[in-house]
Amino acid sequence: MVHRAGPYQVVCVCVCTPVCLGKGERNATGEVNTSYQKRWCILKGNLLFYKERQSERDVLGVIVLEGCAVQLCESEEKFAFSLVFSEPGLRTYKFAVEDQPSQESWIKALLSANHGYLTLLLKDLQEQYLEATRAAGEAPADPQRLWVDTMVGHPQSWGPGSGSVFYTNPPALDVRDSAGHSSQQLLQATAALAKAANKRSPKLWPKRNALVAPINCPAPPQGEWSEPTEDFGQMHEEFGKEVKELIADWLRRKQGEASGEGDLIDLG
Amino acid sequence: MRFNEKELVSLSRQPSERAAELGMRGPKKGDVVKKRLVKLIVNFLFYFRTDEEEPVGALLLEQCRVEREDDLAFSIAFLDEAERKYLFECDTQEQCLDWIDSIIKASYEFMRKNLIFYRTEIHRLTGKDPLEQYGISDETRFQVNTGLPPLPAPPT
Repeated sequence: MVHRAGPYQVVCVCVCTPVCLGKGERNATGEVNTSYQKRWCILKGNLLFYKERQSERDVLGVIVLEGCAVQLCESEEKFAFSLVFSEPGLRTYKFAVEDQPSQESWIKALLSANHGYLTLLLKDLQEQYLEATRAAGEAPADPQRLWVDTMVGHPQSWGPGSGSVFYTNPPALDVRDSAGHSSQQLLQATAALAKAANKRSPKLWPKRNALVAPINCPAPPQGEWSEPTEDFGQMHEEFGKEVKELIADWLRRKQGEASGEGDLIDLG
Repeated sequence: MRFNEKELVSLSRQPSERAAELGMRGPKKGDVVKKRLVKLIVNFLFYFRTDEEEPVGALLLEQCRVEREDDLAFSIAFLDEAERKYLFECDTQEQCLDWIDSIIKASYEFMRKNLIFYRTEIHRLTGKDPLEQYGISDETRFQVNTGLPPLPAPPT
């Protein structure tokens, strides 16, 4: 199945639908053909929805953006890119957009759409926040108390069957600040968040799950479990370097010029 | 609307944030509690019959409400069908609390809101936008104002 992606809205609020998989369901496993169909694509979180056209209310389908690599791809269509899943048997999706800025926008958005990216970024910002409140002499706020309304209803009494939920005090957690001293009090507020982040299984998606590969290169080998990148800054640096190198290389091949400075995606 | 089933099955095989055998009851009238292996992977909750390779189903944990139902049980309901609840029965109170906690925090939307909070606060405290160094300060999904209800003011 091959798509053309139209202009998109990156909307933050996710639509939700519970999904039940019947055991006997099968998807059509047609071969990848090169005919494109025009679709309106909407990126929400780690999900890429597509519908027949913008005005259409119903969504045709959704692609889960986990375990896939974003690749520039060779195509009759200009400004093409693809989503390649590392698991065998999963189809590749190809996209083509109107112009180079759109292509750049889409690739950038898709690279950072996966759940793991946001998890790492959030952890990084949380550390920066704790650092900043410490430097300013403020007590850090407890994000849980701010957001609990959204998801679980108004926090009320802690009674079973009261139809509401709130948290008990999060357990204390020993985390070091940049001076290497543990700061118990700093962590009370966000202990549960940090705990959730640190509880991650050591096996994650392949570290380079957003690898942008040169044309004619195979997708990253399946089942490549590398050590998780714990540091968002480091992961970001790697993405940036890879993307710059590979796009520059692609440009050189395509245009026959040594224009290695042509950054399609500026990652700062 | 169709999810690609193979993609979901592939996702269901990835390492989970949390996995356990729980009692699970579907939202339909007449549904009974059944033992299921429940796995939380990114923002999906997969459930399997014991010893089966492929999940029976998957819940996307966005736009949903998680509620404590009693000492050992919690429910998940989706905002567009608030009366239809999926019920989960745990072995201990602690397990119940842990699941609720993990499910809420797995939501992309939850993470995004926290991120926006931290971004705003860091900017307030330091004068710098922490997303600039990563070149993602223009990404729509990280904007402070996206038409959603305003954030509550941080406590003073």
